[in-house]
Amino acid sequence: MKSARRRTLLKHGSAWMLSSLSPLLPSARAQAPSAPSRPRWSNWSGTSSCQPSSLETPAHEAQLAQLLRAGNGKLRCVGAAHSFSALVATEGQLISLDAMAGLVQVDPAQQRVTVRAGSRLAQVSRLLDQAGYALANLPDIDTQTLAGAISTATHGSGMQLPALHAHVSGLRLLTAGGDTLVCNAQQHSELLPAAQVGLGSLGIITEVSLQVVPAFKLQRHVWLAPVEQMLQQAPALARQHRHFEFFVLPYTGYAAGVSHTPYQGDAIQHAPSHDEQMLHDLRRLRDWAGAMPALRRWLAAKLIDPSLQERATDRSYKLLASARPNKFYETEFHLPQEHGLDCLRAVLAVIESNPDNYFPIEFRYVAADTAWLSPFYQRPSCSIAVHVAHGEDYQFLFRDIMPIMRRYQGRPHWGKLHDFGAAELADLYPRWSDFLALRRQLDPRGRLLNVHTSRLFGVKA
Amino acid sequence: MHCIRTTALLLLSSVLLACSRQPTPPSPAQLALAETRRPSALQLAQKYERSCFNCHANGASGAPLSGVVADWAPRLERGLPALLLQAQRGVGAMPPRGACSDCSDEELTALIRFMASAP
Repeated sequence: MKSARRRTLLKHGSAWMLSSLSPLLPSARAQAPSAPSRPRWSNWSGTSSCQPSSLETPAHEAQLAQLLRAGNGKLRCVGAAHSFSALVATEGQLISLDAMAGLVQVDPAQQRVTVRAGSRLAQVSRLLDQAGYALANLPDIDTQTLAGAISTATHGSGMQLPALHAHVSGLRLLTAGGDTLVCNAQQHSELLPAAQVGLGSLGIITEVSLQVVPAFKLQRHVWLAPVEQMLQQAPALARQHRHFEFFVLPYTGYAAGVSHTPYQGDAIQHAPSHDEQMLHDLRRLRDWAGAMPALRRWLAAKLIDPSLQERATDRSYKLLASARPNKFYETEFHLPQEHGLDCLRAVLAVIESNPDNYFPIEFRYVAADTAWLSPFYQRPSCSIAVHVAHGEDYQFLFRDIMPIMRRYQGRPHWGKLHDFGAAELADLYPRWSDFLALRRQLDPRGRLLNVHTSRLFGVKA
Repeated sequence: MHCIRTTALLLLSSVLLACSRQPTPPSPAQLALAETRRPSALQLAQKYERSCFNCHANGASGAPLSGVVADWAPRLERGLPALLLQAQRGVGAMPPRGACSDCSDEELTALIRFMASAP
């Protein structure tokens, strides 16, 4: 009986750790198009909201250009509203690219595809799969729009794999004045590394060209190990596997490793996810034994069987990403790889100093790239993400976690919670002033600024 | 004293685990059904593919699966207007308007009808 109980918890745990702690679903809190009053909008997690003057959903680029030329007020673009930071909020026009989705072109010779910017990542994966291709890597949540994902430097895990925007070979950008800029190797090539991660501040992306790879399958392996053992082995595991990440389970003494390696077989074995059940278990453990950390650890040791493992095989996009059924808050920082594990130890100490915490801490590897505002700019990185259940107090992320990230030269994920401002961002990004100059050139009247980006850039909204 | 403490701990473990009953996962047939269905109207199918499919054809999302009538029956008992209201306001992890900012109320209703119906 006891063994069965242990097995149940572990099974839940292993499944959950696979995809768990990360972003999830999109959320565009826009009022019905037919509604007469000003719409209300909030992001998916509810950390940012606004009342824009209108919500526009242009069906194609010409309509969007006309809309931009017709007005002169503030505007922001919204993707899937999954960002936790206030990148979208505006009292001006809110422009959704929902109606501008789908595949434009497949170029087999170049192994390149062109996709409309409002396409959701999951949709892109399915369309590519039908054409025999795949994205080289994916974030573990794929409900974001393509434009939103690249504009915020959204990433997956893999020591040799860069973030999504690094695969962007070209894009079409509509400036705030309604002019079209084609940025690729032949035209405006100097703008491409700036526009790859633009925070929606250089213009509105309407189409994206991506380097893709032939469709492939992966084998997932999930296992548990004592925290310090996992930390010691992590660099070697990251070198060994195409994708490797791990989750530290606070107050249990365990971490869960998750690897994905290429799979050539035909078997598709993909067990149903029990992620939410595991979160429920960890939360129960917190609720019942949170005031007694020693008891909490004792119970965890009794209930978790570290010998059990889980394996799955499936098409790459079906294993790398998943949908999340519950909301949460999240911060994430990208650190120089040599500081990653030390920073994680410091974060874990803080997390385990507050018995309210139970969400696992996510640790990933990301390769360097050359986009000016990429948090991975010329820096092989480790990413540390800290999550808090929706409805619980997340202020400690700012108070306790961010000072640690600053100490280890962390660069914030643009789409997640952070309080960094212009001065320290300028120190973290070598091409910061170049980006600001380009932003002024492309949007001289600051139409695309909002309160949040004004603070980031150190300019008036 | 030691026995009392041990009994208390085991009891606590039981309570914890008693709270950990998991819902029945969807069957492979139900997942296959959800993954293959699309609305017949082209425009609605495009919106479904973009905004609904990722959760309503995914067993891990916790959302009622498209075409799995058993998932929808208890929800439909509250009536279609109540379901539309939930879609408009958002429910659980689903954002307001179901992540479909260009869906009219009529389209949301049609999408609910499609997902809740048997193939």
